[in-house]
Formats: sequence, C-alpha cells, structure tokens
Amino acid sequence: MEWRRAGITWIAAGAVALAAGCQGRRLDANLMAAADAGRYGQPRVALQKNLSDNPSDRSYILDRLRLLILTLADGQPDAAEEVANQTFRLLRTQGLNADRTAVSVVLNEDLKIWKGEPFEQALGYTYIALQKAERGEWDNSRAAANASLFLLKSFGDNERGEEMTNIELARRAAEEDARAGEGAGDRYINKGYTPVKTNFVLGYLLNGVANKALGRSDEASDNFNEAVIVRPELKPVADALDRAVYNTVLVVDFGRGPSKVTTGPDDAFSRFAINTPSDAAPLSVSVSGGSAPVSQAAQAQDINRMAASLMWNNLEDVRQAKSVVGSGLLIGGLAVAGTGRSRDTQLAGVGLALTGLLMKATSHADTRYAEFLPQRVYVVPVNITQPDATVRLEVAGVPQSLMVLTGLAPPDAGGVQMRYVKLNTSGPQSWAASGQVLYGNEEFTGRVDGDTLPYVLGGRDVSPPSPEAMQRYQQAGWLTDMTVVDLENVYRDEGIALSTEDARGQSRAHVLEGGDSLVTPLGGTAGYARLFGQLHPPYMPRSKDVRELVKRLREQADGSN
Amino acid sequence: MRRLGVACSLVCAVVVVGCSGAAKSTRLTMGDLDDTTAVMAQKLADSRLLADRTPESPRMLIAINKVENLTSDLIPESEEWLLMERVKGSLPILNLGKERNMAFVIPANHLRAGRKRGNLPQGFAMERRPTHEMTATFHSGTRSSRKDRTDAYLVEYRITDLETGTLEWNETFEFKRAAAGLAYD
Repeated sequence: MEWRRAGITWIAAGAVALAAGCQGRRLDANLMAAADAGRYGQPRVALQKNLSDNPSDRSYILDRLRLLILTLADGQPDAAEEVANQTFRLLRTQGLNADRTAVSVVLNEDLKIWKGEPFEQALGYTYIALQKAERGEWDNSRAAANASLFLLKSFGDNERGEEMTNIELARRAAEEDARAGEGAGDRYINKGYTPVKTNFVLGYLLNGVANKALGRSDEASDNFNEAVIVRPELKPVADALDRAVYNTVLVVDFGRGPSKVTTGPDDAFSRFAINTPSDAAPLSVSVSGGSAPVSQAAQAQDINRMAASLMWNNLEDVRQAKSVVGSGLLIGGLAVAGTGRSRDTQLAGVGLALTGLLMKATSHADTRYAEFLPQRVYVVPVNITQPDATVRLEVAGVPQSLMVLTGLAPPDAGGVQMRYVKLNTSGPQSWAASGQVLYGNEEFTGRVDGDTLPYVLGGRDVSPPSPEAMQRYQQAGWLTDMTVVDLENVYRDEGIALSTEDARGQSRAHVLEGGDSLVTPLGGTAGYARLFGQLHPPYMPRSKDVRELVKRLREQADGSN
Repeated sequence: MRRLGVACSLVCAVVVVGCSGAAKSTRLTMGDLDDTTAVMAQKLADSRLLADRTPESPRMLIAINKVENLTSDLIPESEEWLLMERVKGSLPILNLGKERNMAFVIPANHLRAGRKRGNLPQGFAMERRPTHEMTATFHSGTRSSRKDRTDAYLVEYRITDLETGTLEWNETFEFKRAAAGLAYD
C-alpha cells in the first residue's frame, strides 16, 4: 500500500520535475532591451558564453539563431561562421524531434528541440544566406536562400473566405474524429492540405541576388519575377536588382517581430502577438558617395503577417491541443476511479487521473521563439562609387528609425557586396544618426582626430597593427622605438584578439565597448555606426607593461606641450 | 495494481524518450567528399590530357580555384578549397608532376589575401604565370515528399587552357543521399 502511494507520488514528482526542467532558456530582459537599442555587443557575448555544444540541447538552434542575428547586426559575419553552419546543419536535419513527438504531445511541446515555426525556419535560412553573402560566398548564400523556399501547406479558407486559423483547424479535425472515427482528425491534419509554392518574397529576392552575383542571370530573373508576383509593389526594387547598376545590396530589418504566446483552452494553442504594428511605410534611401536606383523601397517581408498565417505554422499546437483539450485521459481516469470495485482499481484510476491532471497542467503550447526577428525587412540596392561613402536610411514616418551608415566602400574586384542592417527598435540613438567616424579603423580611409596613436595607448585608432598604421603613428612622433611586432605584443599582453581567428571564431565585444577584440565590423552596418559614431570612455590597460607604456606616452605628450 | 504499473511505465517511457533522438539528412558527408576527391584524382591521373604528356612537353602550370557550390547544401569555404587541394595533392598527381612536366601554382585568391595581409615576402610569386585552370562545380537536384527527401549530387571537375579557352579535361561523379523524417520537425 505504501509503495503504491509512493508510486503515485513518484509519478507526480517526476512529471512536475520534467515540466520544470523543460523550461526553455528565456532571454534576460536587459539583453532584449540592449538589442532593441542597437547595443548588440553585450547580448551576443552573453549568448556566446551560454552556447551549448550539445546538438540535442533543446535550445541549440534557437540560441544559435539569436547569436547569428546579433553578430550579423554588429557587422561581424566571420565570427558568425560557425553558428551559421551549425544552424543550417540542424535546420536541414529531418525528423529531429521524431523521438520526442510523443512526449511533447502528451506532456509539453517545449520538450522538443526548438526548430521554430516554418516562418522562423525560413528566416533562419535567410540569415545564413546573409552571413554567406557578407563573406562573399555567393554560392553558399544561394544554397541557404534556396533552402528557405520550401513548399507550404494550405488548408484552404474558412466560411468567411479567409485563411483558417489554428483553432479552426483543430475544430475541423475534431469534427472529422466525430464524423469518421478516432484518427480521422489526425489524418486530416497530416494529409488534408495542398502543398503550395512559397510566398516568401525575401527568400526569392536573396536567391535572385545570389544568382545574379554568380552570373546566373536567368535564375536570378526568375526569382525576382516570383517576388513581384507575390508583392507587386516590389517591382521597382526587383527591376533594379535585376537590371540596374549596383554593387551593394542592403537588407534592412526594422521593428520587433511578434512574440509567441499561449492562447485558447488550456493554453494549448499558440499565437504570435504583435509588437511593432504592420504598415505599408517604405524605406527612404539616399547615398553620399554613390547612388540609389530606388529612393523609396517597398517592404519585402512582413513578419507579423507570416506569423499569423496557418501556412507558416507547423501545426504542432493543433496536434497537441487535439490530444489535450478533449481531456480523454483525465475524464477516463476519473471514471475508472469512480466505478472501480477494488481498491487497486480505484487507486489505479486515481493514478491515471493524477497523471491526466499533471499532463493537463503541464501541457501547453511551446512559446519559445526567435526574439530578434524583425517586424519587417527591406531589400535595397545601392551603387557605392567612393570610399567612406554614407547611406541614409529611414522608415517613412518613423524619424527614430533613422540610421546613417558609414564606412562603406566599393567592393573589391568589381563584384557585389551585401550588408545586413538592423535599424533600432527603441528610441532615437545619437550614434545612429551621427554619420561620423570618430575612431581610425581599417574600413575608413579618411583621417580622424587622434588616429596617430592606438586607442589602447590613449589615442583614437583601432586599426590592427600594420606597417601603414605604424607609419602613421611614427610620423606623428609616437612609438618611434617600436615595430609592428612590438605593437602586436602590446595587444597580446592585454589579451586582445586581433582577428577572428585569434578570437577562435567566436563573437567577442570590441575594445571600444570594454571587450577584448580589435576586429573591425564591416562598414555599412549598425555595429560599425555604433562603435565609431560616438565617443567611448578611455581604455584602461590591464597589464603592468602597457600601463607603464601609457604613462611614458603621457609624459612624452606633456613634455612636448 | 497492473494499471498503476502501466501508468508508471508510461511516465518512465515518456521521460526516457524525451532524452533521446535520431535524425537524418541528405546533406553532403565527409565520406562523400572523400570519395569525390579520390575518384577525381584517379580520373585525372588516368586522363588522356596527362597520358599524352612527357617530361619534354611544354610546362603545364595549373591554377586552382575553390569549388563552386550549386547544390542545396552549404559547403564551407574551407571545404571548397579542400576539395581542390586534395585532388591536387593526391599521390598519383604528385608522382605524375615530374613525368608529365606539370605543376600547380598558388591560387590567385590566396595570393591576393596574402598580399592584403602584408605577410608575403617582397616579389613573392612574381613569376606565377598559370597556363591552365582547374575548377569544379557541385550540382544537386532535390525530390521531396512529406516525409522523404532525396538529393542527387553531380560533381564536375574541369581543366581549361587559359590561353585558348579550350576545355582540355572534364569528368563527372554522381551520388545521391536520401533521408526520412518530417522536414519541419
């Protein structure tokens, strides 16, 4: 008798522990706020530190997608190489959760490895395509963009002629069960749809751009045409991408994407709640040091609309709801307990009921989602003809969205270059609109006040050590007794990574923001504008040797004044 | 009693199943890449292009470029180079170098990157004048249904005379990979 009670207790404790242990890793609100304000350094370092190496970790893909987006926003595509490849590998793996489906339906959907809703998967592929394109790997960019163009499932419209919702689909499935017997509803969900060509405009555009860069013009045109068929207002952009003269493509994110929340009976369904409302505002584009074939670019993708569409939903919540909302196990369990003749039967009935209650209590739709997705995406071709060009971007009617991109130059060897730009979601940031470059760096050819001495030694230059940088310092009378190698050793003494390889391919914060990386972000990104468009506190040397060197340099400066 | 056992077993099974997983993919594997480079190296070694050459033939200097990936899979840039380097560096090709008066030169991309970094000696590779270029393209075609997917891969390696533009050697290699499981899951 005692052990029976213990058994029931064990079931209860086990299920509760399982439920508690299965909470997905939620992002700290401070990290979200930092990302909204365009301060990507702190969140990406935090994400990098917590990254699990175990591919069966439930947040393996989600954490990588979060890190990928922020690392790209910070203009560091090389640092995103590993996470992009790892994300692609698991997104392309079929049946990743095949062994977890049963448990997720019975207990809790977030027991599964997060792979995201189909729209999150498609967008995940596009960020991988962007990362490859920023590195000039147009063939791999094409592969990733292609992967985003998978077929969608259409269940048709409801009685009002609108696309069905997930709750309506669940109701129809339940009606099928009632009409044709148990299992008919599942068959309806699994086979009652029509596979349809995707309406993912962003995927078509990126696929077109990649093919164009590879010299595959016919395939490029086909993709641009598909984009216009879905969104006719994109014709000027698609025509420009297909035929105009341009050497730089900007993919611009704006707004905060929708949050996934539970809804419906027993919170078994999920829906995406809007954060930034949708509208039709175009993106205004102007270029100094080049030209813009399209000065008002229409939106390529509205993520709110994707998230609300059943076609872009994996229907897992519908399957789960069908199994839980009916509460068959709970009702059956109580019935057994109430009618059982023996104490054993009654006890077993109570056990089943308790299990059912726990399942009902712990079952809910998976609300993990990719928090850093935007509300909308623009694709803009521009032609950069001079070094140190600037591009001004502003969502029409949203002045706080203004961002002036700096440090852009024509691409090497007459090719095409890609830049991913994440506009700020919260409030105006002075650096975003400054259009200035206040620190010398390898992406900027102009001169900057204070660029005659490295930042770590009291100046305003953050170029990696090179003969050219050394010459500049020495011509100004600084570091005349040092070589490039000596300067490299100064950085090494401070534990500062001079390249992505030095940083072991990981996402690290820049020295200007208190980090330990000197890797320059790509010009023409939000990360570049934030780092170099505002002043930062002076560097605090960590090693004794460098502290003494700084002291000597100060004395030299005082002596020369 | 038995039902209680069943209930316990259900929860146990659920917990155990929740901690395991198996997956499948049609992505390229290292084995595919190994097979490809081994087959291509042998085909090049056995080719008419090389068979007709002697130590007295005009010097053939071959530049390589990384693989062009036109598949639905990512091939990291390092592997795109590796796929060429392994054909270049394979034993039959190395042995044939002297017998056929042929050699490989540093890829132009590597030379440009080295010069940009400033870590190459003065005048390095000034005499680099390739006569031929070896390139390769990976293609794929996909068929997929609700639960199954097959990718057929076609690999093509080529050597082109840079002066005349003549395609002097090309070979293909095919294989396919199949996977089962829901793509979205």
